[in-house]
Parts: sequence; structure tokens; C-alpha cells
Amino acid sequence: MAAHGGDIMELFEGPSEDSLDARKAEEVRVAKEAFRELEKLIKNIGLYGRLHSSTHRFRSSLFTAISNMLEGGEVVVDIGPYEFSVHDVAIYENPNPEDNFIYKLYMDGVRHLEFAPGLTQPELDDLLDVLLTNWSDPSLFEDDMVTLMWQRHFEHIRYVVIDSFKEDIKEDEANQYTVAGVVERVRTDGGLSLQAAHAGASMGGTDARRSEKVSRIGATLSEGDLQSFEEMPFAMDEVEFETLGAMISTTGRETLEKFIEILFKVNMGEDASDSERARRVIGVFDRIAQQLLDSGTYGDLERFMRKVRRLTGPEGVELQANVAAIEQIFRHWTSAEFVDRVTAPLDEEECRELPSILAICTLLNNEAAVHLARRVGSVKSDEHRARLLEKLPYLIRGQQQAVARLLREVPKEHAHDLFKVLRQSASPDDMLVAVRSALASQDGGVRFEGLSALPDEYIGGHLELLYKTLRDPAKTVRAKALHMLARVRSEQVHAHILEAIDAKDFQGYELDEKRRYFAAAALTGKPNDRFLEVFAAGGLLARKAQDEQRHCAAVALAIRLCKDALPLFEKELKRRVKHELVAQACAWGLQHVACDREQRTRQLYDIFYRGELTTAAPTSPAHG
Amino acid sequence: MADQTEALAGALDFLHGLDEGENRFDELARHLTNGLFVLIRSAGMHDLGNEAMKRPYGALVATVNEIVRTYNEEVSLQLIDGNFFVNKRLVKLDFSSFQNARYLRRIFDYLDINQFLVTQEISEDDLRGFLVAFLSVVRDGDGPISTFALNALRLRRISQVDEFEELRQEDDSRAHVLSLYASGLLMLRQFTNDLRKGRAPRHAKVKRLCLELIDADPAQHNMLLALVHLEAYKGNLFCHMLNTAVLAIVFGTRLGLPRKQLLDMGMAAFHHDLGWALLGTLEVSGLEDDEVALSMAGINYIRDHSPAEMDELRVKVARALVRMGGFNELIINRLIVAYECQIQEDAPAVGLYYGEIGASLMTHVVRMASTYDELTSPKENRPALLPDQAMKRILDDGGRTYDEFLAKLFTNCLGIYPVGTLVELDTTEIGMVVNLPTNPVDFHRPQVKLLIDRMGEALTNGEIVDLSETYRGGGRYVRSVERTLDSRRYGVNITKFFFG
Repeated sequence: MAAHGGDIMELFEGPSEDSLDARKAEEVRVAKEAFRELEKLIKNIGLYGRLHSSTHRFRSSLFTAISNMLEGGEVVVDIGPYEFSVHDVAIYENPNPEDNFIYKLYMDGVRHLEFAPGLTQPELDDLLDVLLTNWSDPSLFEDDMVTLMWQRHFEHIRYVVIDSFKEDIKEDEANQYTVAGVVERVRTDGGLSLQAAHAGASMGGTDARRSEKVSRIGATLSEGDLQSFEEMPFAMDEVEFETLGAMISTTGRETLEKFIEILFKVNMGEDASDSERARRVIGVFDRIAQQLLDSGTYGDLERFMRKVRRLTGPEGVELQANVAAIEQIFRHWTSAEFVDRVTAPLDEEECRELPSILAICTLLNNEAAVHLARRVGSVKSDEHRARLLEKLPYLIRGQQQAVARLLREVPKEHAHDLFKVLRQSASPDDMLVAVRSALASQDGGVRFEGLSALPDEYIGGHLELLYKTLRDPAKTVRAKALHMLARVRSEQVHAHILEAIDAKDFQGYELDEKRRYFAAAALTGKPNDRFLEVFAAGGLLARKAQDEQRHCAAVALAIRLCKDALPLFEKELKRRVKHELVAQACAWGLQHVACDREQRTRQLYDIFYRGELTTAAPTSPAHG
Repeated sequence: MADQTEALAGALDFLHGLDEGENRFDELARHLTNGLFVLIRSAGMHDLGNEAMKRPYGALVATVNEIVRTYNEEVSLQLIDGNFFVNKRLVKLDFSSFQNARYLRRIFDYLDINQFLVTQEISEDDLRGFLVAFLSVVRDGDGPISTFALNALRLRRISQVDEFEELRQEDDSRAHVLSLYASGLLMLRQFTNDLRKGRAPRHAKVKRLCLELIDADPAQHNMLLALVHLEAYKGNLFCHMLNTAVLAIVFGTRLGLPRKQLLDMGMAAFHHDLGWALLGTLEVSGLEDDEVALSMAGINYIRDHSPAEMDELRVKVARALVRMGGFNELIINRLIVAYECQIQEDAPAVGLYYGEIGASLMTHVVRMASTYDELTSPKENRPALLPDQAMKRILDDGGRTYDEFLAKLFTNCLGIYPVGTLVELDTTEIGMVVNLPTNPVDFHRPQVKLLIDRMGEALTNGEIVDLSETYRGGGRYVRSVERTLDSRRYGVNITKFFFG
């Protein structure tokens, strides 16, 4: 047999575009033009994403092209697996079965799309959104092109779908599970007559007469009956309407709570080890929490967490497994990362979710207190920081020492806030931890806060802390320590202060501070002899350092109300060549000893807190 | 809650993993379509005994015989509406086979056939015989090809318009409703079987069915309600799913719920007992058979007699649904409904949760719809209740099992004498309730098609009377229901009456 393959296959070539009449050819031309715009738009979206501003221009061009296409009337686009066609001519193709909306439309049973004049841009956009659906989204697992198009309520786009269910239907011997089988049973409901006959046999009297009557029924619904059927109205009175509305709204509110409990029970009921069950519960619940955080629905997150807290068991019963699982979930959420995410909106000036965020904080395990205490320092909005601070004393209960340890690393303002919080809920022991932590900080301001926070009753028992602080690099801290020590009259304290005065660093201190050390020494012991000796030292060519020493000694002797020093002061004041600093101290000393107790106390205060020598007279103070 | 957790979505992967068997079939179907075209094209270019023909022969023989052997069935390549189907499954073409299929479609058209049927395993000789016939038709004008005896091969044109399409094409509202119900019934059967057998279920089809039910013309709701009484399939899970959804959607539509909520309610109704289809081997011996396990009798038996606590069963059903995948608002709602519906018969929906949370509105509706269907289905220990008896049971429950307010609304909406109730009127006339009451206040006064007149004579086409009609618009009704009759006892078939 001769091979005429080419000839044979020519028989099966499709109709060419040239064979179309003028009207159809024009329809194909404008349709091709329109779908070329679709191609451009899709390319653009592929390059820049669906939300890029440039897509608006391409969408608009597509709409113009489709509108042109519809000027001649309705256009029917046939859908094959890889092509859209009009009059059997391909107008748009995509040979790739992956990511191909033509193929997806075809597989979902859509065979024709009909575009009618009057199509609007929003409708076309809606259609595009359906076509470009991201099918990897798990929430679309029960959707296809048809269900999505149904949800769009197109007015000028019709779609024709084949009933793909029939491919599921297989013949069965009894022909029961075929359309014909169903129809046959609807129209006859086989087996029923037997039952009726059986029942009829036992009838008697009125029943039998009625049966005889009914047995004459042969009518079925007529065409006229069918035509007469109308939609029947239904109406509720106002009370019913309100009751129903309330039920719908309650249902909506409870949905989340119910879902959480079911999900919890489902996971707890899994046939797995305790640890595996816990892992699953944490996995699922954490995802929900993250999702709620992502969507910014803090109210729901609060309800969600509150509900999880209450999943311990039925009323009055506490199931150990549940309690343990809940504990593990919350332990998981008690992380710095979670706390930071939950409190992130507090940085904004506007935060409608503030009550929920604060409530969420209260739901976390106590251990979260540390993260909250740390976070409060970085909250950008003053108002929101203040609100979180208000809550902190309550939130940190049981975790005060852990929070106190934060003081090692936080800056001064944050430390100030934390001390305020700790003072409201911490025990003296906790405060001591806080003080020690603060004193270990690199920040002098924090160390100062720490010292200030040391309860008075603890000073006597923790002098070592203060001795150490006497040599703190920060002047304010040293001053604070000195002031605190000055109130403890003991030889040991006195000796430490003198030791500090003798230390090498002391020479580098400013005068006001040196004066403070001498004053503290005067208040804690009896250094009269030593200071008289210091005061007596020196000569015509005294150095500045020596003047300062003598100045401080004079002040200290005056504080001590040392009678032996008074003639020395007067003598010093009468010298022709005065040492200014020394003379100033002597003058102050003389007036100080002449003051009453109250005035002397005020002057001491000024030495410690203001670093100044002030006098009782209404003259201007002498600055050190 | 939209969006989405991977943990739950991961459940889908579990089901997708079971798709391999189906993928192979798709592959074979594609090879068959492609292979047939390649063989025909090769026959046009080469002598049938040429060495070049060996490969196309071998490929097609191997494909056909693998289908016959693996699936133990005939191989039918059918062209329907321009698309190829192998054994009624759409052939999923890749681009190259699509181009070839286009030619093959024209070859079928040329030969005036729409089916290429292989009844048993074939050999090269069978294919050679077919090609000889083909060439003599194409080159010599012999034919038609269907007249050639080709052993295991049949090339023919069969009627494309099956019963289903016939129904769809009829310009009769009854046919439309019937086709919708029939397709739903068969599809849900397939769906439950797929789930039971671990095959990937076609969720979108269930949703499409739900959408179609929602879109059904409310004027034809009475027809749908009549089909709920089709007894032949009652007692099967798939039928129960459909009937519950029909009742819930009709009720919801009459309440004026928006489409989104109707969809939610319909899908919840479909899924409320579906978890049972997903449970593995059932725990009660003797119920492993799928037919039994997927029957309401089997499900109720386990629900009512299982040694497991009700709460445990509830959780199992919920877990099964969670594994079906997805995590969005709709899934959550239907999960809740399914969980809340697992209650022993006649027990109130209380104590479902740790707190004081009660059952949702949707659960009450689905439960009433479900109960109505169950009560109107025969059981081992009792015959099916009549429609009005079932409705009265729900109404008279007094808030013990169902929410009292919703139970009243439910009966008001669907009528205390539901569609399909055979009634005797105080005029001695007998008729069938064919539609819901015209006046919502008179929910016990439906529309009745008269079948027997006052003289006891059968009417061939009696009128439809509205029982809310009064004499001259006054307070006295023209007709009232005197009593209801057991339609089955009198041999009156509800669905036959409506659709016969």
C-alpha cells in the first residue's frame, strides 16, 4: 500500500481563519486584539506583582480592548485545555499545564465564557482576580474556578459549565446509582406498592372505606400546577426578628471559643505520647496565635488565650493532662519574641488594641514579667509606656527578683521606671537584689537609682555595699553613698571614710566632694585631732591641694563644734596674706558654730546635697 | 479566621498522597488518546507491515491492555462535547497530546463516531484490522467504519444525550429540580465513598452542589422538599447529607439569611455527619462493611451503643473533619456544627463544652433538619414517621432537645403540614400538601392539591386550594385539615406524585 500520510492528515486539518466570513473574521480580529492586552497585563503582573501601580494602566487597556470587542455584540469564547478560541480560531494560548488559568478553567468544567455589552471594569477586574487566583492557598481547598466565579455575581459575564460529576458515576448492576436509576425511583419509588398492599389488607371499617377512596388517586402534578407555584413569603414579627438576630450574633461571638476547645480536644485525644501531643497542641495553637497577631486582631487573640486558660476541664474538674498542656502552651508564649510581637502596637501613638494587649499581658505566665519589664523601656509612646507601667507591679508578682536583675543592663530612665514598679510590689529582699543589680550597672545613673532605692532599714546591714560605692567612678553615686553613711555613727564607717580620704583618687575629687567626705567623717566619728593637724599644716607657699585639705578640715571641725579650732579660725582670718579657700571655711565655721541646731542642719544639708557652704545670714552663699 | 495554618493544611497533603492510583489512570488515558492518533498518522505514512509501525502498535497495545488488566474494565474512549473521556473520566491532556487530540477529534468526526471501545485485551492484529478498515474508509470511500467487524474493537456513534442531559434540556421546572437532586445524590455518594476509601475527595463539587441548591428558584422549593421523601436512598449517609442540606437551605432562605450564611449552613449540613465516613475501622464488630458503615443505621448504632464516651466520639468526628484540611471560617463553622451534632438521639445539646457555651444556631437548624430526615426514614425498630408527625415531634419538643424558638421557626417555615403530607379536609376532600402556606401566620394552612372530591370521586386534575382562604374574607375558613393520612398506607407515593 502506498504511503499517502500527508494527504490523509490534510483531511483532518481544521478550518483556517481565511475561510471565515467577514463578520466572523472581524470578531476574531478584535478578540485577538483584546486578548493580546490580557497577555500584556499578565506579563506585567508576572514581573511586578498584582499590586504594582503599573498594572492599573494595563487593566485599563484590557478593559478598553474588551469593550471594543463587545461593540459588535455578545462574544462567546470557547475554552479548550490550552487555548481560548472564537469561531474555532485560537485567540489566546498557553501550552503550560502549570499555572495556567485556561487549563484550570477547562479542568473545572468551564467550556465557554460569554461576554455581554455593558461589561464594567470592576467586573472584568473580578474575573481577572478569579483567573489569577493563587491555588496554593490551602483555604481554597474546596474551591474551583466555578465556585469563585459564583461568588462574584457577574452581570455581563456568563460561564457555561459541564456537569463533570457524571465522570464519577459508574454503572451498577441494580442501576441504582445512575441518573436513570434515581429518576426511576423518584417516579416509582419501587417496593412501596407492596408495603401499601400489605397495610391495606389489615384495614377495616372507615379505614377501608377511606382506603378505597384513596386508592382511586391517580393524579400527579400537572403542568398548570407547576406554572402556578410561586415563592411563598415568610415573615417574622419584631420580637422573633430580634431574638433571631441575637442568636446569630451570639453564635458569631462564640465561634472562636468553640473552635479552640474542639481543636484542643482533638489534639489531646490523639493517640500519641504526651510529649508528641503537647508538641502538636503547641504547634497548632501557636499558629493560630501568630495568625491572629498577623491580622492584628488582638481582641480575638485575647479571647483565644483566655479560652485556652480555661480549658482545664469540665466545670469543677481539673484534668491533669489538660493543665499540663495548657501550661506548656503558655510557657511557649512566655518568650521575649512573643511579648515583643504582642506589644509592638504600643509603639504607635494610636493603639486601639491597648486594652486587649494589656489583658494579653496579664494572661501570660509570670515568667513573661521579665520580658514585659524589659519591653517597657523601649515602648515609644509615652502614654502607652505609662499604661504598661501601671500594670507592671501586678504582672511581675513572684518575678520581682528576675525583674530586679534587669537593672544590670537597662539605661537610667528605664531603671528609674523599674524601681518605681518594684517599690510597689517588691519585698525588702527583692529590693536588695534590685539595688545590687543596679550597682553592677555600667551606667552611673542606674547605680545612683540603685543606691537611692536601698531601704533605710537595710543600710546598717549592708554597709559593705556602701563602702564599695565610696569609690564609685561616678561622683553622684559617691555623694549618695556618703550621705547614707553619714547617718551611721560608727567607728567602722568612720574609718572607711577616712580611708577613702587617704586614698590616692581622693586628690582628684572636686572641692565640694572633698568637703562632703570631711563632713561625713565629722558626723560619723571624732576626728578632731586629725583635722586640727591637717588645718595646722601649711605655710606661706601652700599649694592648692593643701588649701583644699585645710578648707575641708575647717568645715569638718566646725561641724564637730570643736572649740579648740575656733581661735585657729580667728587667727587665720586675721592673717595679712590670706589663703582664700581656708579663710572662707574659717568664716563659715565661725558662723556655723554660732547657729542654732536647725540652721546647722540646713547648712549640712547644703553641703551634702547642693555642694555649697551656706550661711545663716541673708548674704549670698559662698561657693566652693 | 481566615486565613492559614500549615498544620491543618498539612492534612490535605495526607489525602493528596493517596492520589497516585488516579494519576496513573490519567496518564494511561492520555497515552491512549495520543497513541491512537500516532498510530493513525503512522498508518497514513507507512505500510501497515512496515518496521516503523511496530512502535505505535506496541505502545497502544500496552496502554490498552494495562487499563483492561489493572482496572478490570473495558476501555471506552469517548468524544463528548469536543472533549475526550476514557471510561467517563475526562482525559487530562498535556499540550502536545492536546494538539494530537484536536486531530483525533476531527478523525472521529470524519468517521462519524464518538466512541472507540475495546472490550478485552488486544493484540497488534486487532489494531492492524482497525487500520485496514480506517484506510479503506478514508482512501476508498468504503464505510461507514462502524459496519466493519473488528473483533475486540467497536467504533460507533452512541447516543450522547443521557438521561441526565435529557432532564436538563427539558423545559420543565420539575426536571431541573430532579436533575439537581439526582446529581447531588450521586455526587455525594461518590464523595463519601472516596473519603471512606482514602481517595482524594472532590470538595469543590460539594460546594458547587451547595451553590446550586442556594440558587434554586424559591418557587420550586416545594419540589425539593418533596424529594426529601424519596425513600429508595433514605438511610444512606449521602442521602442524609443531601436531605439535611436541602431542608436547612430552604429554611435559611425563608428566614432571609444572606447567601454567604446559606452557603455556610448548607456546607455544615453536608458535613455534620461526614466525619463518620472518615473514621477508620469502626469499633463495633460487624459494621466494617462500607455500605453499612456509611448508613445512618450504622452510624446511629455506633453513636448510641459505642463503649466510648459520647464526648470521645464527638472528638473523633471532629478530628476526622480537621484532617480533611483547610482552615478558614467556613471550615470552623462546619467543624463546630459536626461536633455539636454528635449527641444521642433526643438528648439536649448541653454539656458540649467546658464552659457554659451552648450549641450554635446553625447546629440547632442542622440538627432539626437532620432529625426531620431521620424521623421520616424507616428504622429497624419503627416505620418512618409521616412528614407532619416528624414536624410535630420537633415542634412539641418544648425546648428539651432543640431550641424552642428555632423549633417554632422551623415548623413555621416549612409548615406544620410539610410538603408531601396527605391530608383529609373537613370537607371530606382528600389532597396532598404541595406547597408552603401562603400566609406565614397560618403555618398550619398549606396549599393542597385536591385528589378526591367531596363525593369521593378521584380527580384527574384537581385544583390547588389555599387553606388560608376564608369565606368572603371573613374569619371562617373554607377548608381545614381534619386529619393527616399515611400516604404509604394508601399506596400514594409522594415523589411519584410530584415527579411521575
